[in-house]
Amino acid sequence: MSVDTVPVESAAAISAGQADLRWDLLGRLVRQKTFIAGAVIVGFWILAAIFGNLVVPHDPLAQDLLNINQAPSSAHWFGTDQLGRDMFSRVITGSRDILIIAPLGTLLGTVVGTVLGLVMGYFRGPVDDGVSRIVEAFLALPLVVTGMLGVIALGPSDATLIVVIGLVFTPLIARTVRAAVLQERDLDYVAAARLRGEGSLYIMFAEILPNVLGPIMVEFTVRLGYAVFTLVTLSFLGFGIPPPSSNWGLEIFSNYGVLTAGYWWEVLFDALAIASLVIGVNMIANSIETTLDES
Amino acid sequence: MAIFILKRIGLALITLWILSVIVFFAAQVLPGDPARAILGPLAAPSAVAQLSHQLGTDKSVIAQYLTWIGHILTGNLGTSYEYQAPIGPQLATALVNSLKLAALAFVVVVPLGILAGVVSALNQGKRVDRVVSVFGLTGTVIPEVVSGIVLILVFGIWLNVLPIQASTPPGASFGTQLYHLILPAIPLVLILFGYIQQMARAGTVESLTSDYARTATLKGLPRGVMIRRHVLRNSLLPTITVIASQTGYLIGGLVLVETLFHYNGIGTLIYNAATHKDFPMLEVGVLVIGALYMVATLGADILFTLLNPRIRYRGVQ
Repeated sequence: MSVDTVPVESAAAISAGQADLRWDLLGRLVRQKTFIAGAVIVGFWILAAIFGNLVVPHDPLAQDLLNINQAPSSAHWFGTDQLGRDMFSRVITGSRDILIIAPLGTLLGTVVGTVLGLVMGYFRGPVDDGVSRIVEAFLALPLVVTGMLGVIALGPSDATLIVVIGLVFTPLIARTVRAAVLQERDLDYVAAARLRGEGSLYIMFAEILPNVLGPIMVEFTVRLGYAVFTLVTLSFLGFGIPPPSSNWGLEIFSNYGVLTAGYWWEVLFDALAIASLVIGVNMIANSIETTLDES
Repeated sequence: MAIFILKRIGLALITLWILSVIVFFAAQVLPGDPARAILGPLAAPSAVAQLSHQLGTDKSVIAQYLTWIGHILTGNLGTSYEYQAPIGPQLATALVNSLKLAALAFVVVVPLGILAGVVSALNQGKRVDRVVSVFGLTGTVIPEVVSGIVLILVFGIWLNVLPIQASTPPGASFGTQLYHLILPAIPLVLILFGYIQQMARAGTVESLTSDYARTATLKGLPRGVMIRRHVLRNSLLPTITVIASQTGYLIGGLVLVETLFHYNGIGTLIYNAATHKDFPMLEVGVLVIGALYMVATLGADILFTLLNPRIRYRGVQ
């Protein structure tokens, strides 16, 4: 009797069971108050990024030099900046670049980090040792410093920022995936696959990967929060998205010099917008983690 | 034990070497010709070539790396492009300043974080626990730009009770320096508080539910004594490692906070070097913070081993 004809539960039944489990997890996730609150906040900023330009009362780039540094009023809800641009419109549309670059960078880091982590955890030995040293070297530097180095090395652009965020997150995600793979690699199903004569690639990506997706998902959302954090910080330091885009970090960078003149509205609303977005992302991350922990 | 420590030091040195290669290539090789960057796009090619020769950047990349790392290992940190002065003394001043700020943040946040974590754990699931935990988690995720700006606005400008310039004139008294560092230290405290609180909380919860805690309770030990003698000793061990591993975050935070509050520390040194393309300064600065991080994590590992009897005894055998 060949291996193929050994009666097992049908593949359809197994995948149906997995689908049920996934729906169950999803159901429990969306019923959490933290998740709903986080999703509402993040959803708001995503809508603002996509449709913001259509609904804001003023053109966020339109200068009005007769009305510079105006305090909040009924005409300008959040006041105007040093060039007379409407702060409310700039804050609402200021999420766009952040919400494009941060997820793409995080995705890049997650994909590369996952592949690296799978290879390190599955093969162990010299591959693991070698890559671990490089990972350690990257981890020795704060995100902001690695980010600045990356921007200096590659020149400032959106693509650079995506690559830099991806690069910075790769070792962190690789480390998490590696740890998860180490727990899986000696389990029976991996040994069974090896006995069936499956190749290393198949075992890593078709057998182990689906079983470590949980930690990867948590890691992705947590990192997304940090991506926003890093991006905003880099922008504030002048190493982020170049002007005239109105992203929040750059906005604070350009306007915090006039804080002492009393023009608080030119930075405070941006700061609060940043805070709301990172808190929203982290609420989602926390609720995913809680849901996976409970199961 | 000695072998363990030697092995850890060896690994740290290898990591540091890799870091030096990464830093060198990122700052010296990828951005293009440093002489051109210094002299600007209008300079004559002959002048650029001459400066390249003077800086040694006309040699092969590997030769440049070997010269650079050789100088650093022999204590010659090089000359800053921007200031045309040796890097060593500037770096020393900046490090001392950053150390003051970091020390203030640590002195505040470590006891506060541990206390809050233990209080949370003892009131697990109750309102106090939820409020403290949510506050801590929120603090760790909010960028220092945001907390810094809000603090400057509220305490520096609206209430006008604390200075928003962290630097003090030379020769300022300890008290004055401390007074100027209060506001900059708060964003760092907010970032670190949540981690330490969560770690202390988790450690305390774990040892509260352990067999030895139950035994202590069952043999009639008063709750206070049981917590002091049995729970805290065990719960604070993992917290030590977390505190040391936060050094990296702390230094990242310094870059931002020092820039925001105009403080002459290692963070501003790296930031200024990066904005002015002062590559020798940038490379040394980054290498130094990498080394600091490695020393801190190494120290934590060793401390953890020394404090943990299970590892200590196994090491001796």
